[in-house]
Amino acid sequence: MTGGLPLGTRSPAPVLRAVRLGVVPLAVIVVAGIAVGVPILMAIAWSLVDPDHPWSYPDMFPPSVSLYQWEYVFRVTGIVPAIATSYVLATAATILSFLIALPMAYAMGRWAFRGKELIRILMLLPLVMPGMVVALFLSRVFAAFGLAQTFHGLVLAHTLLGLPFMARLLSTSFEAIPREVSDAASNLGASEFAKLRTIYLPMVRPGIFAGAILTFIASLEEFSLTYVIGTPDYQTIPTILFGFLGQRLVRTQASVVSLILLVPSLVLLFAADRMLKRDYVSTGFSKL
Amino acid sequence: MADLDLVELYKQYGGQTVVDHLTLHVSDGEFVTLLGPSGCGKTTTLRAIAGLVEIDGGEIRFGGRLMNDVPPHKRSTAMVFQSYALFPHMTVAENISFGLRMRHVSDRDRRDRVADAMAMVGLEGLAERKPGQLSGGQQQRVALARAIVTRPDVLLFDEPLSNLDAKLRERLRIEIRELQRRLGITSIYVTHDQAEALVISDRIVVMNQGRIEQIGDPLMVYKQPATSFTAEFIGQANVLEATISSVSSDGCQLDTAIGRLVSSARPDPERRTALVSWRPEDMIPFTPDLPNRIEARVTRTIFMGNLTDVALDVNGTAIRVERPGSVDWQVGDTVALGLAADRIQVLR
Amino acid sequence: MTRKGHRLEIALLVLPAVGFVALFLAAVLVMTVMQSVGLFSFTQETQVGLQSWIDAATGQTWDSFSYSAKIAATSAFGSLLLAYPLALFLRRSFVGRPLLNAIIRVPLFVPALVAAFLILNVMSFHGIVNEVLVRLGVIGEPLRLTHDDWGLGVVFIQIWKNLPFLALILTAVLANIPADLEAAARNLGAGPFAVFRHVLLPLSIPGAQTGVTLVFIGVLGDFAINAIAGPLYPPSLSIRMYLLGRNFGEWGQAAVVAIVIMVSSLLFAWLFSILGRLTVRVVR
Repeated sequence: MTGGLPLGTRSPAPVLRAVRLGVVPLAVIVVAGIAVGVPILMAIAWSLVDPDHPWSYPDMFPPSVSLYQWEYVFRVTGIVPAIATSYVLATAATILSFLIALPMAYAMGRWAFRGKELIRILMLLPLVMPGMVVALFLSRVFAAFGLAQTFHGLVLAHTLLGLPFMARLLSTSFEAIPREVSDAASNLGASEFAKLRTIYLPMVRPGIFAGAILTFIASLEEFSLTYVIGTPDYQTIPTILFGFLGQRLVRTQASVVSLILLVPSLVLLFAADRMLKRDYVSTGFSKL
Repeated sequence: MADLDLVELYKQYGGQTVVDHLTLHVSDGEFVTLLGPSGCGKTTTLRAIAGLVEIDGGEIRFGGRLMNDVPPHKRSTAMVFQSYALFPHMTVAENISFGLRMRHVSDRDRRDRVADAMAMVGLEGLAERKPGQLSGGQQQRVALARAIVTRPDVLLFDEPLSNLDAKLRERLRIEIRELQRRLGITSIYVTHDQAEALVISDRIVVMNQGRIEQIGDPLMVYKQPATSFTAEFIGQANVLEATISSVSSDGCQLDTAIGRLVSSARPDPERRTALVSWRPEDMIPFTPDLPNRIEARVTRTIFMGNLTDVALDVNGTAIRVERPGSVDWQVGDTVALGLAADRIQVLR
Repeated sequence: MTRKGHRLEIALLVLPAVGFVALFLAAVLVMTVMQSVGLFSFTQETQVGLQSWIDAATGQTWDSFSYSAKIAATSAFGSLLLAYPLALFLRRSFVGRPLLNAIIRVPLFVPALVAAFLILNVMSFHGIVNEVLVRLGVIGEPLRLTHDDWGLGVVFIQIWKNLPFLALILTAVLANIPADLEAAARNLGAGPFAVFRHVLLPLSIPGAQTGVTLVFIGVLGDFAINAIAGPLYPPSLSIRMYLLGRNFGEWGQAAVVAIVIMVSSLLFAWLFSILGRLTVRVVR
């Protein structure tokens, strides 16, 4: 993210100057920290509640801590197959997305042609369309073709939702390769395939990683499509979590499953963010 | 209308001194140019006058009033930016009237003054256009009109013409100067283009590394550069080391690598050595009335249209001469050159 | 440049991705439309016609629609109102800015379901928010902040989740405004509020508008968060659609509701773009 205003720029008014240092930044950080941190901390706390000392109002903290909830969830619920399904699905969807999006991204980066803008918009559509609408009626389509409740169907559905991320990141990476680099390589005798291998792919590697991570996580977190098309035969971590959040809210177990879903996502995404050195989210949107 | 005083202005960024105790007085209605290479502190000084940059020390006064703690939107300055900084979402008329709107000038007065300003800079008929639909020159005029319409105490120019092509630049800088003369607003103009500075300024302030090298009117700064920096930054110069062999009431004698030179400059008798300079166009084919005769061998001639740039060698020392039009000297020729006594400067 | 010979190449390269997305989305749309006019059904004998439309045009559908629109507007504009000051605050450097940037990004990385649970947990009747408020004496009794009839719980969750998204968009958009423009405005006499109103706001509205539209559409069509934290009645449009289809087998009506969701999304997007342009015209 660019730093904003130039160094040494005078603050607009003495009152607003106090904004820059001192109380106000501290207050804002504290408020933000509480708003963001407390919910997460609460979930962690609830996941560690000792069943022999239930935590209830008016205690501020759980009276004692244990890993019972975690052990319970893993032992009793269908979480283990759900985790397996989730991760296998995510891997399959990511690979498929990559294979589908790569040729397109290459073409977008290599040539200028009419319809590029249209394609960009089209590729974003799966994200914009209401999730449950797509889920419900895609399931009907699948049912008509015998794909309902099948793993293949799920992979296709997850790929549909992952493609926007993969396509956008790959396209941006390919488009960022300066024309001159490609021309220089041709000039020095490289064939198109050689260029792909030795120049393009290495240069877009960060984009590939970022795209893969985002697609993977999108699939891990995907709920509506999996809920409609997959359950009850196939459960993923989000569908299991949804089960715990329905009528009978069992805080302790819901906390555990939430963390199982949350922590890998957080780790992967921070890794992706760091790896990219630039913030694709806001950069991508800054052109709007 | 006001005069401007900068007193011991000091600004540093991260350990580096950008403006180094700069003191300058600008009289009411004067057009002063801050001239220097990038990084010399001229833009920082300009922005400090506008209040857009906080200074670390010194004083800024308009008509004697201390401006240090006055925020930029309350100072009576108006700036013309290098990037024009036109508001892209506003029309030309709205851009120009912006300053008046901020000062709550009445609708009717605003309209009249905007129309006047547009006429003054030659923008009639473009009131409803947006900046994106204008050429570079037109955008520049809008920026100008926007600044002058507010009738500021001080007009500030931040390299306003550097984004334009040469011909347009030459035309606009004269227009700017005439406009300023007509309005009589104290103006500070920042540029790195020394030709521009020579054309438009009442006085030039040559800056280098945050300090003033020399202040003077264009003629003086050109003909009598005080330091080697000024000599080489403004126009071309031949600069040599010299030993001062004698000083008299008429001038001095200097021993240099190209021989003994006679100059009408009168340096401090205490000095033993100095840097001396002369302009390439002042060295002309020798005539007996000139006190200085130098024989040189031509090493290169470059024809540049209205003049020819000639490089010569004198016993191993390279010098440059400019001759109007073309020359029939060939590489390898030995020529006799002469230099008048009052064309040799002894630098600080 | 496109040389003639490359057109085929480009088409082939682009086909897998474009074809995949177009095929599936088209299939969804076609299925939806067909179901809504009775052209397709697994289970019942249906007549082609607008019967489903008539059946769906009930007060219940309207209730769901107005509820969904209401929480969508509250979430989207509530997030916007909070995101703008935050983005403006982040423009200048201050001690702790990187930390604040990092904190703000966290909700972006939290899956929607998890966010729903986290906030639900915190805002529940005996959750920490109520506990603290009661202890501080701000309120006498705990408030019902989740599963409430208005939908406040859903709104809180949506704002928690979407505020960082909007703040990030606004930050990027504001950073794109050349610093000289702000300098010029101040130089010409604009105080801090005038700079915001005449320069920063008009130039950031296009980006803000896109963000608001995306958030609005997301909340309008939301299923999971409403299922988890929303009121029993009225259900959100997506929940209603789901129930009609899966629970009652009224696929025709479900399709109608689906079309309502999609069409109203488009209409609202269009409305917001007009609103944006109007606002620019007014403030500049």
